[in-house]
Amino acid sequence: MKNFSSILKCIFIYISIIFAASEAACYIYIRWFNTNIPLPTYTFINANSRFWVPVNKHFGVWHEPHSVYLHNKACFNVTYRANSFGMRDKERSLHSAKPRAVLLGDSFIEGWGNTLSERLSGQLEKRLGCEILNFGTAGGFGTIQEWLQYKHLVKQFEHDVVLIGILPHDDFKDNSLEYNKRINSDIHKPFLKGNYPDFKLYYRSDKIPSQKNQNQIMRSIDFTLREWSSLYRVLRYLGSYRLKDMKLVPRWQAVSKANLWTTSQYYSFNQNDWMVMRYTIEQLALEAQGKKLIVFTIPVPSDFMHYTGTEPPLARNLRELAAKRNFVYIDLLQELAARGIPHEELFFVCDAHWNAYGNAKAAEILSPYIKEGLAQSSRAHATLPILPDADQIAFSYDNDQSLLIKSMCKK
Amino acid sequence: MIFSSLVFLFVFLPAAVLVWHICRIFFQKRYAVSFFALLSFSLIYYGWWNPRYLYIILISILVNYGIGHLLAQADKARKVYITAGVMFNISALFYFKYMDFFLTSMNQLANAQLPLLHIVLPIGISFFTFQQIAYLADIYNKKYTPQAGSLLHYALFVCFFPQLVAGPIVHHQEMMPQFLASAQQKLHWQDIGNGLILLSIGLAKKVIIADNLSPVSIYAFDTAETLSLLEALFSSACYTLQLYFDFSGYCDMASGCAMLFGIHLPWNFNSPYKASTIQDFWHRWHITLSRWMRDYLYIPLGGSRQSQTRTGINIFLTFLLGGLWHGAAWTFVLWGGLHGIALLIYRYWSNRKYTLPHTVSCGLTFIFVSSAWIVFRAGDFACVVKFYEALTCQSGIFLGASFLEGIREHSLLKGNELFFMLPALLFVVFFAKNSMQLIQHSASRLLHFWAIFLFILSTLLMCIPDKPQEFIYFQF
Repeated sequence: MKNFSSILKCIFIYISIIFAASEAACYIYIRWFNTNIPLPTYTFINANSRFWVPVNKHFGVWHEPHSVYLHNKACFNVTYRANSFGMRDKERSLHSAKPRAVLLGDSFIEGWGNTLSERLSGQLEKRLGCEILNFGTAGGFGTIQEWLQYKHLVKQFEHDVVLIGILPHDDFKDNSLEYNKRINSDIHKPFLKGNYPDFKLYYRSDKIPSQKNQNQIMRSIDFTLREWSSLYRVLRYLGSYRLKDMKLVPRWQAVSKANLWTTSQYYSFNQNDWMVMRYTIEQLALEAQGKKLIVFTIPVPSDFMHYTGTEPPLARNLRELAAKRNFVYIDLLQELAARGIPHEELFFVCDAHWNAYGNAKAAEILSPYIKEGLAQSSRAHATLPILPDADQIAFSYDNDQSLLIKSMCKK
Repeated sequence: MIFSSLVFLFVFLPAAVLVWHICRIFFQKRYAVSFFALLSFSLIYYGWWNPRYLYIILISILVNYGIGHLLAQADKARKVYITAGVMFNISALFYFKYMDFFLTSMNQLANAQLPLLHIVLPIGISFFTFQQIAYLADIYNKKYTPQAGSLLHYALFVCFFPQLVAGPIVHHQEMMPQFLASAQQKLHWQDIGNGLILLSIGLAKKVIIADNLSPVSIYAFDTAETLSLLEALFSSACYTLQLYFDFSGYCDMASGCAMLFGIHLPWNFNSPYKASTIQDFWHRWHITLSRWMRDYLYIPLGGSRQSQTRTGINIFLTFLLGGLWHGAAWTFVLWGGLHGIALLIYRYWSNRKYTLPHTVSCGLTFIFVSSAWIVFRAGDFACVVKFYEALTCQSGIFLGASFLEGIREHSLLKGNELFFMLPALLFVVFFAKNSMQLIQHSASRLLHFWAIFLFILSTLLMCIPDKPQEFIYFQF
């Protein structure tokens, strides 16, 4: 009995030693060697808080005003805060004496995984020295919702330039009633029924559901471990990688090469989906009459893999539409590919959204167009600040390299 | 497959240890099975670098084993056999390691245009060649008699993977009995425990310290022409410490791996920067190489049995060849020559009973050794000259902003931690116990905690992609 208890004692001591050593090693690793992994905050987090809720009767998913959310993934840890209008943005006034722009789109535009200064609108504000109001939101936000959001919310804000970020990979699906039926999604969301140009708005669920407070034990345990254990953080981070050819590669990269990212919506879209997108952009252009409209498309990794070097069909359609409806269209896929940037550097290692470097590159490409749009605004002569050329601010080698190095470290 | 790789640590080594101990338990009396299993793993390890290398090492083993037996049995033709054996080994070494160096030197000296052969250096050839020369020499001198039918045993001695590619240069008389004993005796759990601790410590030295310093010293040596005095001193310190921890880490890992099989490799590294004299330094740094040089080069040349002048020449020649052994370049020869001269000065000094305070003596030795490492590291004489010019303040004195920025960019640590790391590392090399002393004097739970901590941290660092770097001594 004594032997058994001493063996048990020994086992317990060694398990404790292993655990303590692992925690210490992981803490040191995060603290000094891999700043890509967020350190535990040693606080208790409300696991039930939700940020993206279908609370708007016109365009569905939005943020509750003044809501807070800790977005915690293996390679980033960001707190999102909504302002009084529900934008994930600092407080903005409806009126502005100076020219400014509004930016609409989905999670990429919202800045998924990035801080306010790292995301696209933050980078543009730094380059251009003017306000860029960010109305982006995740939660399956397509061009139908962007149009309705512009019509019912964004228009209230004084602005001079309208920027729309289209994500071909998701937007066709987000706009598609058939797709949403197939995945059994019944959240309150607008769709278009009928044929071009006589579409009619249709809402899948008439009622706006009230937020449910589900007490999920596993979610709570997960959140608690994240905030209290460096070892857990490291394990989650390593879970973002996969062993391929005896090397660790980000899981989404490995998966994308293993046939799960086989299509690119730049090439594979049907005529009906295109007509819905076309219609919503045209409607938005009508709503934004008198303002400079800039539409840009955002590529995901599979789009880069499918890119052949020539203009993809979707980009051609949008370019032709832009010429017809007098707005500016920029395809970031072609622009980024032309710059020879390895596309893996643009995305997080644990998530296929843009990292800070990706956002910076997009801002670098878009800023001349926005600057021109602001300059052409009727309010421009009064208030635009005199700034050096954006190239000199943001194209400087050190800035570029420091962002690249920071993002590279995340690999 | 270097020691500090995930494949080696989590696949190869556990499999090899498991198979060895299973064979050892189930085939205790038929130890040839265990030997064969371990030899197979060793050959897999060696062939992992390049399968073509296997032919080279197998031919080398067969030829040396055959000559060894002929030597043991012969009466009259012993000199012929030993000459043939040594010539075979030296020729192989010369061909694979020094042929292009020889051709390049001839081209430079004679203004010729002899084409280079671009021969790929088989990994570890310097080590297993020297081991086998020692084997033949001992048989010739009748210090050792090979046993009949022991090819497997001999092959295992040469190929045993923990020491195969970068030493220590083991002696057959200290290794072969151990294989037999380990295959037949009970498992010593203390060996397993100490082996794992040494493995962890060695891995940490390599991955956490040496690999962090390596990009910094590469950057510094690449920008040698613009270095100021402090920058040159900083760079020299980085390389001095990188080499120390790289080699020390490798030695620890080799010893640790061997202990998992119940084999104790000879001590090869004994806090060399604590040396008080240059002679003491060579009793602490690459101990087995010094031993080999002394027993099979210096003593056959005459050692110290002859006149002072001749002894001095013997010492100088030994160090020149020792430098050349490290690499096929004149900078290595120069480095060896510098150490030879230093040792001659030391002998002159000690013969006249001059003494210095211990601290001063240690400091001078360290300064000399660090300065000589510059020659060792520099790719050519031009780089050596530029570096020494920097030490004479030709490009300024203080640390420049661009140098600091370059250091931060190339360091794996974020921020300024590297500048605090150097003094801490210097403290460790001068005052702390080395790993062998740690496991001999203390097997406490605190040591176990640190071993686990270091192992996990090192493993995490190895998971950073584009990271693995070879051990420096692998190139020899």
